[in-house]
Amino acid sequence: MKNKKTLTFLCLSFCAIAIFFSACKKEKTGQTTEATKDISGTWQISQLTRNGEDLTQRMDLSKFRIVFNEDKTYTLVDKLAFAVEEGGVYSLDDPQYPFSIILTPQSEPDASKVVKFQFPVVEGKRRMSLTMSMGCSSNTYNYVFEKLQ
Amino acid sequence: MLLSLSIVIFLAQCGLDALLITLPPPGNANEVSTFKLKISTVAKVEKPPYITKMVVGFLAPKSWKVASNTVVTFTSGKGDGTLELIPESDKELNTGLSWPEAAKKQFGIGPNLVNDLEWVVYRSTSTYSFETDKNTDINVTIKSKLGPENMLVKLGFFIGASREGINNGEMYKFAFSNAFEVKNGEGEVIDFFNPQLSKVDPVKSLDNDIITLTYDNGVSETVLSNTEEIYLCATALLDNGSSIEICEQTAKTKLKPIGGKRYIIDFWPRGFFNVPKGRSIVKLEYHFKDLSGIGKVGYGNTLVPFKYVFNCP
Repeated sequence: MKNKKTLTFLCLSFCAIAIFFSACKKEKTGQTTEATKDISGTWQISQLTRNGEDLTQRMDLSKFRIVFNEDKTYTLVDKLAFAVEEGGVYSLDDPQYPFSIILTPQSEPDASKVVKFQFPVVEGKRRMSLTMSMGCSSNTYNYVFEKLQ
Repeated sequence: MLLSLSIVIFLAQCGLDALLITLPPPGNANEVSTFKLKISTVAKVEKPPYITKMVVGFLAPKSWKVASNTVVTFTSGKGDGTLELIPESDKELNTGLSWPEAAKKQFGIGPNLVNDLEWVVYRSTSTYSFETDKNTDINVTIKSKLGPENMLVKLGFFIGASREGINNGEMYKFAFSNAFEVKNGEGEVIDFFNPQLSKVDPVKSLDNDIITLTYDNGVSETVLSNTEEIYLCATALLDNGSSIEICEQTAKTKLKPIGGKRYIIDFWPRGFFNVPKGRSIVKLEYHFKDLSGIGKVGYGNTLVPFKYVFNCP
C-alpha cells in the first residue's frame, strides 16, 4: 500500500515537474530581420531640386532613366546632369540600412561617386532619393526617383 | 568718412528700440571692415527679472565666409563681451530650425536680388538680467574680413533675445543696410540689389551644375521689349581655348516666361553644349535674341555679351 502511494506520488511529481518545465519552456519568438534593400529595376525622375528650388517642371527629365541590374551593374538612359556620366557598377554602403550608394563608372574605376541614399515609401510607392553635388560642393541636388513597373 | 545709417521702424510696445546701423566706407577686398549696430532695450518686464542671452544675426555674401572671418563684440550698460557662433545643433525656439535657417525664413535676403548670401548668427557667452523701466543701450561691433570679389550689397542685421527666438516681433529688431561696396577685388562688380537685365543662378557653379539664366524684360527699354519670344544665343569657352556656340531659335534655346516680364532658361551646360569628355567650360558669353535672330540684347543693353565665369566659392 505504502509502495503504491509512493509510486502515485512519484508519478504526480514527475507530471508536475514536466508540466512546470513545459510551461516554462522558452517561447520561440520570430526574430525580425531588416530586409536587404533591393533597388534593381528601372527608375525615372519624379522630382529634382537644386539647393531646395524645384526644377522638376522646368526641365525635360522625362527621358532620363537609371537601371540597376541584379548583377550590381547600372546603366544610364539619356544624358542629364548627374553624379556620373556613364554606366558601371554600384553598391550600397549597407545592404540593410543604406545611407549611401557608390557608383563606379565603367571606364573610370578610380572615380567612384558616393551619393547620399534614401529609400522611403511614399503613398504606398517605393521612392529612391539621391542627393549629390555634381559641380560646386555648395550646390546640392536632390533627385527623387520612382520605379517603373 | 562716409557713414550710412539705416533705422527700422520703432514699435512702442517693443522690447527693443530701433536698430541703428553704421556702415564703414567702401572696403577693400580681403581686408577687414567694421560694422556697428546700436540698440536700446525698452524693458517692460511682467515677471522680472528677465534673463536672456543676446543674439545677433548678420547677413553677408557667402564668399565672405563670415563664420570663420568675423569677430562680434558688444558694449552695454550691463557689461561688455564677445559673441560666439550658435552651434548648428541649437535650434531657434519657434521654428525648430537652426538659427541661420530661421533667420533666412524670417528675414530672407531683404532688398537683395542675388541669392548668394547667408545669415550667420551669434549669441553672447553670458546671460543678462533685465528689469522693468531700466533701459540699456547696447553697441555691437562686427569686424568681418571681406571676400575677394568686387560687389555692391545690402547687408542684413538683427538683434534679439535667445529665450524668445525670432518669431515674436516684439522681441527682436532687424534692418538692412544701405549699399555697401567692396572694391579692389577680383572680377566685375557683383551687384546684389539693382535689377539686372540678366543674372545666373547659382551665382557660383561649374559646367556640371544645372544653371538658370534669367532675362528681365522689364528693367529697361530694349529691342526685345515688345516680344515674348526670347531665345538664348550662347558661346561656351573651353579650357583648351576652343569654343562651342549654340545660337538658334528653337525649343532648346527658348526662354520660359515666369511672370513680371521675366524669362528663364534652365540647362546643364555640359549637355547643352555637348562638351567632349575631358574638356570643361571655363566661361560663358551670351546674348538674348528675338525669334528673327536680329533683335539682340547684351550686357547693359548693348551688343557686348553677358559673361559668366564657372568657378566655386
